Amino acid sequence: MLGFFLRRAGLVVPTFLGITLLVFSLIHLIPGNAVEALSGERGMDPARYARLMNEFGLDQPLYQQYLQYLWKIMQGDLGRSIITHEPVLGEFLSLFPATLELSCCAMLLALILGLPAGVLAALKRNTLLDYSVMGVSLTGYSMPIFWWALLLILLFSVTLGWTPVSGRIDILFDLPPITGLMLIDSLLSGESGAFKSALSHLILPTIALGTIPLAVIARMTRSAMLEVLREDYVRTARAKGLSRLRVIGIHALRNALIPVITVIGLQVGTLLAGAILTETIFSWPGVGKWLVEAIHRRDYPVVQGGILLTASIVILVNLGVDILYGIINPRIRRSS
Amino acid sequence: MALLEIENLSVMFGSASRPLRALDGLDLCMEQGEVVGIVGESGSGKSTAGLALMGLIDYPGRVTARRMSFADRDLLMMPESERQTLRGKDIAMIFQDPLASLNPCFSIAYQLEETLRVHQAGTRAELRSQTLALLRLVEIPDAEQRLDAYPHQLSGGMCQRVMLAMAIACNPRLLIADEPTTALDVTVQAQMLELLTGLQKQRGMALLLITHDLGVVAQVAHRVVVMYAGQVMEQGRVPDIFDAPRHPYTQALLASLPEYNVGRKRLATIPGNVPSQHERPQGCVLHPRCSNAQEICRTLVPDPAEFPNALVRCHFPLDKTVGPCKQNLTA
Amino acid sequence: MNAPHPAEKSEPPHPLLELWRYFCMNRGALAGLGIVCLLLFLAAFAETIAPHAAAEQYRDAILLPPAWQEGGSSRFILGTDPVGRDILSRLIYGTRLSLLIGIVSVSLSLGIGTVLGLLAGYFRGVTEIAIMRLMDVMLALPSLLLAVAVVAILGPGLINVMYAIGIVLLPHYARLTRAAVIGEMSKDYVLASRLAGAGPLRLMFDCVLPNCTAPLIVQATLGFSAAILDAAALGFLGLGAQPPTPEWGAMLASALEFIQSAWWVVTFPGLVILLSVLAFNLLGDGLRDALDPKLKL
Repeated sequence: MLGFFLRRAGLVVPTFLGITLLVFSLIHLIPGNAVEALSGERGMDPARYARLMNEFGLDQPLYQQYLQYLWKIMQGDLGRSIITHEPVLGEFLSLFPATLELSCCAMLLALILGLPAGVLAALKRNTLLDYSVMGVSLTGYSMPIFWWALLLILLFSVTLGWTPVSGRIDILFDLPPITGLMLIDSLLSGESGAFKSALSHLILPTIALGTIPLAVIARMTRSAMLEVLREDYVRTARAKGLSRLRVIGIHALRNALIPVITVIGLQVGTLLAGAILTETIFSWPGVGKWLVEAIHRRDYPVVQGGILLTASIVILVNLGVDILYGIINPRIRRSS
Repeated sequence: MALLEIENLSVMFGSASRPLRALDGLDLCMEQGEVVGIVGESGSGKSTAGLALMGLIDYPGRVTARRMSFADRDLLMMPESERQTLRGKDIAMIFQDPLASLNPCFSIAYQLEETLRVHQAGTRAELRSQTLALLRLVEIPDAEQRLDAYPHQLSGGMCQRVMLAMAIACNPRLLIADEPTTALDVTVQAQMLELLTGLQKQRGMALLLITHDLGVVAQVAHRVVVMYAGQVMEQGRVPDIFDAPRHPYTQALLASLPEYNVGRKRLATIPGNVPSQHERPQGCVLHPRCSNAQEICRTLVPDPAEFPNALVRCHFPLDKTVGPCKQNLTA
Repeated sequence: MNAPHPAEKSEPPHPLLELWRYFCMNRGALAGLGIVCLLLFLAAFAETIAPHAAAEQYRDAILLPPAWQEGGSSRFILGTDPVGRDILSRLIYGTRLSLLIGIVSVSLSLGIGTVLGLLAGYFRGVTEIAIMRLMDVMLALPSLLLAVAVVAILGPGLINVMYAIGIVLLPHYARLTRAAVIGEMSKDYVLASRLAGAGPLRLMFDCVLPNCTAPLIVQATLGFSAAILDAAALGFLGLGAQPPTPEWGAMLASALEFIQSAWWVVTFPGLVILLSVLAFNLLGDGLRDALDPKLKL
């Protein structure tokens, strides 16, 4: 079992190195001058240029620059923002909880609705219910979520006035960030109404962001379930005299979850990419919005660091999913 | 009173207007402790019969019967919940492909204990020791070490033993074995069959052995049901039928056994294939493949006719004195 | 013709005909095909069909609602945008851009991806490891994030968006092709033609590629929907086509501040994006089912 974990973890290292290489070359691929890109200054005098060149290590050969870059990453130094002059890692860490909160809620929504919808559609195959679930999920899968978010705002905020348009919590509340997760912080603060406010701010972004994972999970669950229900061991489970609930909920679902878990892992990437759009629309102070703003401002150290960190999270989550996959699927664990 | 009584059991698929009969009018009676073999080519409806007995035919399949009772309880009228408690406890079944029939995600012990837990009470430790005893009963070597193994770590023969252990866990009165040895290696087949019959005798349970192998039936069964295209062609006591088959199909099946072909260059075969459910012929289902077919066979479905110790569905049953080798049925 | 030869009767139907027959059984796929054809038609004849020019600003008709609403005008069926341009005409011209983005980026990724996959599958060893690791790295980045990164390097703009999406889609084709190559190379007929002296190029294009066209076609169709969606997202973020280009995503973005007062400037562009993405997805699903009936659930 331990060997399995280590092997999987070992596979992650080259991928991570590849991403650092990609991000490292980003700065050299930008048309124009790397010193100007990294400092944000233009038309500087030669003396300052040389000093910065040296400071960024750009006067060294490329491979040395890369090694130096790697060394800095290992120490947690991702450079400083050109605009705010804050360390990139610090900015990222202060913004990440907002993205994490939103993504987790979206994934939760997708799982809570997507898994049962997929299972039901498979059980009621070729009925109206099945067709509706599949139709809705294909639509959700094709949805431009930035437009979907706008429609939600148009309906629930503008027309009905049920939910706020943007932000994480009403500006009336000034909560000290303890965990950085607004739902938990608002509860900890003990201020009445704070939790409700945080929750109502969270609803629309969650729906917008959760739609595509929801659609994908429902589709995948249905097809996995249909495949599993035809298997001999489901017949065995019934022949043993198990209840229908137990046959479907334990014997079939456990096997159907194996491919679904892979898909869930892949959806983490979709979530973080979708966060770029969702956060921009809802003015959600998270990593996605930060990254888009950085691109608009040509804040290249932030773009570099943001992409590296986001990609690392995706890799780590997928590693976690791989391991979970090994736990749930004994065939993989032992044979590999 | 017989343990199992079935009259006119049919299983239909397809639409109501154009039903496809996978099983057409099976009559079967089984006593406690009796071994009955159902023989037929693939597609003859013999597996369907087993599943129908278990109550495992799913929508859109429809099961009808004039009478279907087990230990004096009416299986047809029984609510599903009661049927469920019967399954795995009083009537158990094992299947053809043992590796596919065990859930790959759960350990052997879990799957065995689960069967026990559903049908009886007991503490964890009791269930565990019972499970171990069962594994030993089906002669699995190093049973303790195999408890926490997963199906993919065991061979096909081992998996079938586990399936058997699971089936007999609650002392069923009837065990349905659907091609229990077909998927196994030839060397393992004999061991498995021996184990199966040994347990059957030891526990006094009835055994319904579904197989395409007449040799197996001759070896272990008291009575045999020969099926073709969803219908029973002939049924009766094994010695009678093997000595003097009355149905041309039975005779042809026997003639194709290697034992009857000693010294011949080619094995006798039956030309053609079992017709699919969509293309069942008019009249006697066998007539396109039967060398004795007359005009009446093409139009009229024969009714089962009673003979001493046998029931035969043929317009022209064979003479008892004519042995299977003496008449050249299939040229 | 009147008396068909008996041998003709038993002849299997032409593969394409059979494909079409399977395809027609899927109503969703037919609907998708219908919408795609409509999009192609609109793109081809935009000048004739569109009632107005895409950039034409009517100063007297700013933020006019759709024709059926009060205050709407039959001149502007879907209303006008904040600078008085006809929304319907802009949407029709936008079809061209979206399809163009789709065609360019899918051909780009299909071409390069297939070649990379062939190389990886045929040469194995170091070549394979290098190519497939690179593909893994690209797949580890969420598609929109990778596209954003590429645009960050190349700078915003329509052409760069095509490159960015082309790069993003690339790994899928490389993986598919490599898997197919490895699968086919182990088969006996490839060995046979190898023994007969077929060179690597001939092997690739005569034996291997024809056997993986089906999944590639499906992937390319689905790639179209991904391209349209990502291009619109980039346009919406202001990283893609720049105004006043009538690109659907950019149209949405430029109308954001009017969301409260004029629902139509936001609703219609999004609806068109959704419909075209849906159409290509339906088409792709239908093709997959038709090309491989075994996979049909």
